[in-house]
Amino acid sequence: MKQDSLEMERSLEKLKEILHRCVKCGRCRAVCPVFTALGSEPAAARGKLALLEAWLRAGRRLRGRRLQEVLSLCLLCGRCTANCPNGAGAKEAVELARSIMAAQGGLAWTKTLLSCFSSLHREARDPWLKAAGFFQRLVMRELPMERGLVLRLSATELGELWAPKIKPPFFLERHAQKLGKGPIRVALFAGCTIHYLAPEVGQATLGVLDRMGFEVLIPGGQGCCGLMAMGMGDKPRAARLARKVVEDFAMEEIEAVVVPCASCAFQLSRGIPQILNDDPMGPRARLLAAKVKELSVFLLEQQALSLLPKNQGASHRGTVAYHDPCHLALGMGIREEPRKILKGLRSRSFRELDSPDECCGMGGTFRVFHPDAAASISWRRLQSLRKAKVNEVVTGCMGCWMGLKEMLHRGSEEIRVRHLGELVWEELEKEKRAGTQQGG
Amino acid sequence: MGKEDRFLDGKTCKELKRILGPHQLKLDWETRVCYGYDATNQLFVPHAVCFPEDTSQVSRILELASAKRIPVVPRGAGSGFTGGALPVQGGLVLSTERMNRILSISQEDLVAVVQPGVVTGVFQKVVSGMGLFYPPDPASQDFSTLGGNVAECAGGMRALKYGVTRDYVLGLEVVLPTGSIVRTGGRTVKNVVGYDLTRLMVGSEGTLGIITEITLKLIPLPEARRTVLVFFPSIKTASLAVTKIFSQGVLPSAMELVDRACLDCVAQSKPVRFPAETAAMLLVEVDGSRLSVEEQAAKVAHVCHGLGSLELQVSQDEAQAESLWSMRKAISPALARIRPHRLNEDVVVPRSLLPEAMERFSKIGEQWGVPVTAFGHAGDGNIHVNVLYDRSDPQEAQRAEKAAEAVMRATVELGGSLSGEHGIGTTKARFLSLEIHPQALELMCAIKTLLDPKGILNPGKIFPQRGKGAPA
Repeated sequence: MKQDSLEMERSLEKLKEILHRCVKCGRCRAVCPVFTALGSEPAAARGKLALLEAWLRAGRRLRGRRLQEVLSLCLLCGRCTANCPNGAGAKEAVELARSIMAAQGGLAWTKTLLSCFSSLHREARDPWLKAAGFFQRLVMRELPMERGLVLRLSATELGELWAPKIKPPFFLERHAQKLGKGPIRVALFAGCTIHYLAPEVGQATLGVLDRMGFEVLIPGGQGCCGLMAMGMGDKPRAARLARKVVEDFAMEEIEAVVVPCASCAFQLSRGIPQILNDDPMGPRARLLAAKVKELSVFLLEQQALSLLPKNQGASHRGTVAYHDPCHLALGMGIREEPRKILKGLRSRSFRELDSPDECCGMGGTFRVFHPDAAASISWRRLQSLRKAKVNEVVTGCMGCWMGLKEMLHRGSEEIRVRHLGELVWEELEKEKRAGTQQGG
Repeated sequence: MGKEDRFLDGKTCKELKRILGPHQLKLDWETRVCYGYDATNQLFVPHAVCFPEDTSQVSRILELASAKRIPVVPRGAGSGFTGGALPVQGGLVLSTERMNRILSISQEDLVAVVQPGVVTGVFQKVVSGMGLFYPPDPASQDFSTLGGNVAECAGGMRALKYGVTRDYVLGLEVVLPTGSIVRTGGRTVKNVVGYDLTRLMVGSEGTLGIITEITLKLIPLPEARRTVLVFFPSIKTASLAVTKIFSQGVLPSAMELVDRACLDCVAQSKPVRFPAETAAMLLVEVDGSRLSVEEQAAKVAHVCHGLGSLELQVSQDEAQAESLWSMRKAISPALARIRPHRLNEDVVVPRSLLPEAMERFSKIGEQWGVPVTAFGHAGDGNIHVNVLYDRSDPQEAQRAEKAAEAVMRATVELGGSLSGEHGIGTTKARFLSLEIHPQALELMCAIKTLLDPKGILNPGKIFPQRGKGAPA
């Protein structure tokens, strides 16, 4: 208990320090996607900081529905922090405030539910998702159109309703194992989205790593990275998940932990060491963080470009654009690596979007709680994709993967959302096929 | 609570709700706090915030406010430096955030009509996409609004060649404090019919009326621009360079002087490298035809070399130029890295006295023992003098006040003006009489009383106040 109050004290101090740095110049208004969508001051970083400042100055505990609402109007994309001339970390302040609020006044029940669910052990979570998947297939696809239920659910609403398809058998159920026998051992952190919704991305990543000659370890018990819990302010659960990640992955014999999702990579390399800073597991968390490699960075470091086919294949697959995930570009400063890989693909031509630095509107659970604002944010992204006239849009973050899919579904666009790993795998497979044909 | 009741009883709230839609009036404390500050970093919580969407709503709000004597404070982006948007006496904050449409742009007439909530930078991007140019460029252009720019008569870096906001406002639609709607000026560049009410409204800091529509003059976009960055070993040689460049027949579109302290500050967040012995930096922009910018840039470089500049860079493309200017724009807020609080003065002196003024300002800092930094529009003599201090140290705060006053006095002595582009607001009101003659001040007060007999519109601004409201 004493530990808790000490930590609360420290969080408050940190928060006050950030608040002190903000001079209310208003620059964050120009870069905040939520402010651009809603056009009202509480949405911008400056509004939130001013509100927190006033709240703390009045000596009040951080609580109340409206404060919670204002604080939830943030994607945690980090544009405010990156563009603040004064170095006031508004994103960090929102994170801190959310965790203080959760500790002092409790989380909203919806968020508690989500957070609880994310912190369940994988084996306990899987059956629920399987059941959800069953109903999803029933409602979304396999219900005959002439049945009354379709009419009762109202066809228009069904068209609006979109959720990524749950795809059992899940990725880790099939692939939790060792693979290959290479001189270098790496581990794969899959993340929840790949596990439940995009096993094809996991398989492609695995395929690429295997082809490059790595021995890949995939701990079967691995769970959530904890970014979602952290984002909602549920620090205790985020810490529990962080410890689990460290237990599963801090193995000496591993040279790198490859993470195909930018958000998970951010959490593993930056978030977890911070959460476990004063924890007995802190040193191991830091060692692990140093080994974490986001997929594009890892591929580039390991000279994956040299493996790609040199000549343009007969089947040119059109043009591809790259969508910068906030956690990668702003969170970790990784912008060039994925582009280098995409430009190295012979089957596609790369086209830069006219406004590369725009958010997809997903922001963890932001889209769930603020669907209208998220739709307005993603609409801007959709415009730039339309303008670029590309066939595919590639990203390295599974959050963006979902956000982009939803946006393109809404806009009824023919643009496909792909993961970087999938494209590299396709290219390698094509090379292999071409090779066998030549040989035969 | 009692204070809140004074302005907004149940009946008034009901009437406001009848005028405005359900989402256009906010009474919760959290929203009110978010509309109670500006870039002076002070907070005065208003009693309500309203978001009108058209002129008739603004008019009806003001009519009601007049009848009930409720203070009304117009607010754009809240990025002003003198407290113009602060609800110092409470009341209603009237935000123009929902009046943010560009109504028309005419390429033939070189005229645009906009609502006040349009962000200046957004407008500039739209017109430049059509080959047109709206030059006023306050450092806050990426987020400040045109309505706020007009109300404060914002300047900017290109004022040197292209003038300030005032020079681009052809006509206005204004709602007076009584609720009546007035149109001033028109769509033509020349217009001498009657008194120039447009100019009266521009720079009136939201004390005479609320601007609901603006007709702006545009010019063709220059073909090219070049930015030259020069570092000097002393402020004096840098200021000398300014006058020398003019005498070479070059009129740069902008000429910015930045002292070492500001440079050190901004270097903490932006990638900027400079020679160790740098005392001042000069940022010069020339524009025009492709051929002429090369020639002008060469002349600027020649002058600077002749004066013993340490290092000189010329931007090669638009992206490079933009990054140089983004560094300049980041200076002002970044000064909080030295001290958390500041008195932000934007004094103007006759160009020829610039070197002397710079020397006097830095001496004032030494004399009062507070950091005084200077940067700004050297080309037009408009210098941003910042007296930095920490409010938690009352003695330092007092010394800062004295230093700021000394800066004001020195400026007036040199035949300059107290504010070039920020306005007076609340922060400079007590210095007003240093520059304005008693008769002129009386005339100004009479105009204010004529237009706003009940004193409801943006009270507590410009004119010195007796009972000043205390920060929340």
